[in-house]
Parts: sequence; structure tokens; C-alpha cells
Amino acid sequence: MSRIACSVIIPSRNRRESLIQVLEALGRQTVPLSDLEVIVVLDGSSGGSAKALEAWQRHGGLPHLRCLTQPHRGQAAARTQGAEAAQGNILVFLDDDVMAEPGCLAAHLQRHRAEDSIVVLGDYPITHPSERASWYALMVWSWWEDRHHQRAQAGRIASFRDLCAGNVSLRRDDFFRVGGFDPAFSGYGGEDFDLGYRLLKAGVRFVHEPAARARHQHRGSPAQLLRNMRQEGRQDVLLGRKHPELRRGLRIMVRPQGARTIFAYPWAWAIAAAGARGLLPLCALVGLRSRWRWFLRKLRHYSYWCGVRDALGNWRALEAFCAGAPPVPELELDVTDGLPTQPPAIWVEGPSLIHVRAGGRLLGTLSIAEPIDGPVNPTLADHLVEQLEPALWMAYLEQARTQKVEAT
Amino acid sequence: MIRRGRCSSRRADAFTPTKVLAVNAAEALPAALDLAGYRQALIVVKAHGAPVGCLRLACPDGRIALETLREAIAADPEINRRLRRAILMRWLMQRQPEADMRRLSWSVIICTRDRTEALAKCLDAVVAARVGEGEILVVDNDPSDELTRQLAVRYPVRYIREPRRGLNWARAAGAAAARGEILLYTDDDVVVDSGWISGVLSAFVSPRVGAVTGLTLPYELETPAQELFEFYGGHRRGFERRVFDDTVIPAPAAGLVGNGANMAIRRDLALTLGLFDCEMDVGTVTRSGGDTYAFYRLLAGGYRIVYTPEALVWHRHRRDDAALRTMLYGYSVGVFTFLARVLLQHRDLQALDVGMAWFLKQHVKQALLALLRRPDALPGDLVAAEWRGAFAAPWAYLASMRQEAS
Repeated sequence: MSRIACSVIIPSRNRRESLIQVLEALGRQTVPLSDLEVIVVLDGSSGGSAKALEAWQRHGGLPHLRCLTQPHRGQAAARTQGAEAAQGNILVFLDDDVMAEPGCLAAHLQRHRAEDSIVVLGDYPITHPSERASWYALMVWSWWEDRHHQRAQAGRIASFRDLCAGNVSLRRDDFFRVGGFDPAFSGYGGEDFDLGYRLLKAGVRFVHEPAARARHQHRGSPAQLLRNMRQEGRQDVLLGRKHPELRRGLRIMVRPQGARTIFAYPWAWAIAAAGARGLLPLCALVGLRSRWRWFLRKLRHYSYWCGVRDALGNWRALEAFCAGAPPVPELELDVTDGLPTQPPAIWVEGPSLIHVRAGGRLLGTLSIAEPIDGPVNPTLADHLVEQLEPALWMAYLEQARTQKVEAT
Repeated sequence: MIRRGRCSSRRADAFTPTKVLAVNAAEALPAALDLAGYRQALIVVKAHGAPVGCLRLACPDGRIALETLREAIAADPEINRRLRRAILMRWLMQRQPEADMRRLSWSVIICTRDRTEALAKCLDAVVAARVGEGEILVVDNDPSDELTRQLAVRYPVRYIREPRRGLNWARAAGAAAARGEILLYTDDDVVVDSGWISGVLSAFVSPRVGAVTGLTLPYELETPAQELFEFYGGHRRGFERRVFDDTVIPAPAAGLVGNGANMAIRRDLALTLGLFDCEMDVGTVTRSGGDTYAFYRLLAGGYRIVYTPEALVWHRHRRDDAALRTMLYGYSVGVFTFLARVLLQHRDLQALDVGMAWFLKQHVKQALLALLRRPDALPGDLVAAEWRGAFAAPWAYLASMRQEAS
């Protein structure tokens, strides 16, 4: 009879030093180690990781550590294999560069004991790089910091993008009920968004738990970032194919003019991109920070569209993909007494149209162009004042007048 | 905004002082504003405590009738827009629970030296602006007598003495002694608005916001020198909230985000980065720029700085011409020593760019305007003071380096 409380699943590929640090951090958890099962899934790693793991386990290690291997098939497949082998009721997914702080797993478990059918989103911030660090390190830090903060804010509606598999936990039943990770996502990322969306559709709630904290030891380079962006382009296509209703919120829908030429003249673009890539370190060398950022931004866009091209093949397929998006959802909102206390049920994953009423009269239609990432009500208030000010002002005056009459 | 280039009596005999006052336009306006002998007024229009704009009105009979004020507000499209926005926002958000973000604890730090009279006014205002959990620190910088200490004991404040002369050393001493998470810095010649502390705290919206700056308006416009300073640009940064980071402006242009008389910084950042641990600002050879340098370090470190007009303070500009001249000279020295430090110590080449742009936009342009005797030109002696400051800066930088090394 197993008394395993939770199973920690760590996919890893050729990062044995960082992996050992992750395991050491798990050894320092406040939950009893005997209740803890750790499953490392080596995804096509060369022999080094398995050997290092074995040696580490011989010198103390963890009571329930298992190491599974698979030929290189991606994180999604690795995590699925880990989940299938898991004995615990709670699955905790960690990445192989995420070092859990001592209270991390206890906080995950605490939340699951208190509530049923939830996904617990843990924090895993990057430590602020020193001032002399590379611009790239600082850029990644700022981006990650914003992302974390965004998820943690009160008064927002959870988005499928909140689920990042680097430090997250959920019930085993929920995981398998929605079908687990989709192995079709074979590269970096994307599989967690897809799982997140299916969980949300199945009614599983996302809760953010700041005490479930870990440290993310991000190592990367601009080249790595560009590879990941290319993957992101592919994954967006995959995501949009699987869930057409998400298409309008994807960056693919923007289709800038330049993107078309990436499809038509791939060679010209490849040469230009190689040139720009060569200029990046040059910009860094002579201190042209804004220029460096500009080049990197352009390269990221380029890589993304290359990914889209990889997945769709040609421009016509892209047009068809975009045309296949279902119509923009239309919703109703009543602001007679201001915005409701709880965020109104609106669509936050992409554009939407909101018909706004006050005192039984239609004030106008709000057009939301982008996914709503922050707290819903302040964002709606901003849009309302920006787009419908005159009508809103009349409604406000009318209401102020009726209130005055009632008072007298 | 106060109109530039319309100060007809900047240094003429016909100078008339201007009354500075605030009205809350989101509630019922007063039947008339009595200006007590003044013949023009600078009216700061507020909506629910937040300033939305300001107007200059002439009033030969010493009072402004309600109708006049209403018409003046209605005639300014910007004020109108912001006023309606503030009212609508409040209406839309009426059912929202009060901002449930954990209230940050704060420490107000007032650095002073031998100016007890101004300090008393400053302390009165800060004490009245207290909200939530916080403390007030008075840092007495290399004082020549005991007057500041004697004044401080009469207020609910902690008194600290910093023997090393220089505003930055005083700021550093305040940061080291403070217990609050947010350090709010202001000067002794400032009277803070009653909503200052809450305005500052509400702008720390995310962990990436390292600092907050606010709006600085004139406390009084009694002399030509004060009017000139305001005309010259004062400390105003507008009535819209702005968010700065190094994607918005190059970090060496940090002077744009605000000034040390109205700034707030996270304490852990001020201490870990040692933002004020250098020989800079008033009381040293560099004369100013310590605040700008701190902002630079934050921007270069990837942090954000939020400018919010809701954090409002009233600054008493120097009354006499000589003090104004010295101050402009000091600003000029400070800007270029700051840029030299950024260029040579931080190897940030963007400082060259920013320095060149500033020199052209400020020094060269003002000199040309003065030479052409344009009506909107600064007086020649002030332009000369700025030029002298620019050329004194390299020596000041070397001197401050020697001082730091010793």
C-alpha cells in the first residue's frame, strides 16, 4: 500500500548538473520525504544524466526516486510517461532548472487538501541578474517577472496561458480526465497551454499560490530564444488547429505585410536574418542597446513566422487557417450601477465584442482587440471610457439626476 | 498646463504675483474664489484628489466667480477630458472592493540642512498626509547648530544625523535607517499634498516598479525668480500617468522621469544596489544629479519607474535671482557629471547621445533664443550660468572621483 502523497515529475534532457540541483532542492522539502515520489524522465538524454543520477542516489539521494527513459520525443511525451507511472494522487510538474524552495511542495499539497479539482500555479521567478549581466539576461528577467505578476493579480479571469509546466500541480484524476499532455507538441512549450485550455473547459479552477515558490535558473541565449520563437510559431498553428476558437487570440491572425514575403522569398529572408544575427553581438559590443533590442525584436518576429511557415507550408494555407476562425464572440454587459463586483463572464483569450447597456438602453458596442491579461474590471473600465465616452457620460449624468430626484 | 511663453512680466517692474490654489472640480465648486489681494491666479483643478490640470486666470477685482471658473474649465479640452475620465472611472468602479493589494509600509525621508523654518512647514504637511503603516525620518546633514534637532523632537519623527556633507549621503543614511518597504524622499522646501503618500503607494503596481515619481507644482509665485523657474520648466511632468523603462527611454535619459524632491524607491533596491552611495548632489562638487543617477541605475537594471500626478507636492522655488542662477548652474553641473559617470563608470555609450541631445536642446537652443532676443528666451545671465555649469562639469566629476577614492 503506497502512502505516496504526491509525485513530482521532472522531464530532463542533457542538463545533469542542474537536474541534480533540482533533486537536492527536493531533498530539503518540509514535507516528509517518505511521502514523496520523484520521477525523472530522461528525454533522449545521452548516458551521462542516468549515470549521474545513479551516483547521486547511491550517496543518499531520495527515498522514492525513479528514473525513466525514452528516446527524444519532447517534454509532453516525457511528462505523460511520468504521470502514467506516478503513484501519488497529486502530480507536481517541475522543470529540470527549477529549484523548489523548502516550503514549495507543502504549499502545493495544502491547497489541494483545501479545495477539490484545482490547478495550483506555483511561482518560479528568475533571480535578478547583476547590473553587469548581459542585456539578454535582463530582458528575460523583465519578461518573466511581468508574466509572473500578471498571473498573480486579483480580479482576473484565468487564461490557458497561465499554466506553465515549470512549477504546477494538479490531481491525477483531473489530468487523465482531460487526456493529459498531447504528445503532438513535440518541442519546447505549447503543450502546457493546450492542457491548460482543456482543464479550464472541463471546469477545473486555476489558483495561484505564492508560497509554492521555486527558483528558476534560466540559462539561455538569443540563439536559444529564436529557436524557441520558431517553435512557438509551430505550436500556435497546432493550438489553433486543435481549438479553432482560440485562433483569433493568436499572433498568427495579425499577418503583417512582411510575413507574406517570408513565405514567398525564404532565402532572401534567411540571408537578412543571418546578417542581423551577426549584428547583435556587434551592437552589444559598442553599447547600442536600443538598436540591439530592435534587431532582436525583428528576429523574434521573423523566427515566429518561420515557425508558422514550417507548420502550414504556404501562404494560402495560412489564409485558410485564419479564415477558419469562428466569429468574434459577442457578449452583453450592464453598467447601470457601474461594473459588477465580480469580474463579468467575458472571453479573455482573444478579441470580443461587448454590447454595453445602462438603464435598459444600449450605449454602444465595445470592441476588445487583444486577450485580456490583467484584472478584468479596470481593463474594461479603461476600454469603456476610451471607446464609449460620450454615451457613457450621458448615462452617468442621467443616473446622477435620477438619484438626486430620489433623494429629494 | 501652464502656458509657456506668456509670462509677460518675467523680470520687469510690472511683475504681479500669482496666487496658487487648488479646487476640486468633481464636487460642487465654491461660489467664488477670494484671492486676497492677488490679481492673477494659478488654479490647480483636481478630481477626487487627483490633479487633472491647471489654469491661469487673471482677475482684476481680486475674486473669481463660479461662472468664470466653470467656463475656464470647460474651455480647456484636456482638463475636461481628464475630469470626465476621473468621474466616469469612479462611477464604473463604484462597486469594486477597495484596492485589496497589501498596503506597503513606508518611510518618508526628509533630508535637511540648517533650514528649520521651511522644515517645520514640510513636517506639518507630511504628518497630515500619513496613511497606513509608516514613519517619518528627518536626516540632518552636517548641521551647524542644534535647531533642526530641537524642531524634530516636537514632531512624531525619528531624527538621524549624517556628518558626511552631501544630499546623497543623507539619502543613503535615511535608507539605511528606514524600516518601511517604500522610501519616500522629499526636500525641506516642499509642502506635500494630503494625498501624496497614498498616491505614491498606489503606483507601486508590480514588483518590477522600482521607483515612483510625482507631480511637483509651485507652492507660491511671489517673485520674478519663482515665475521664471516655473516658466523654465519647473519640475512639471504633466497630468497623465507614465510608465518608464529602458525600452521607453534610454537609461541615461533618466532625468526625464522626475526629481529627488518627489520620489519613492523600494528600500531593498536602494540598499542592495547602493543607489545613493556616491559623492553626488547638493553639498558636493557635483551640486545635483544624485536622484537622476539612482533612476538611471534602476532603469539600466530592468526596473520600471512610474510617474503619477496623484503623487503631488508643492515646491517653494527660490525667491531671489541669485539663488535661481546658482541653481540652474548646479543643475547643469549635475547633469553632465551624471552623464560622465554613466559613460566612464558604467561604459554606457548612450550617455554620449543623451548628452549631445541635451546640450543642443537646452544650452544651444536657449543661447540662440537669447541672442535673437526672442520673447520666450531666458534672461542672458541664466543662460550663461547653464553654459558655465556644462563646462565646469568635467572638473566636478574628477573632483568627486578623487573625493570618493579618499
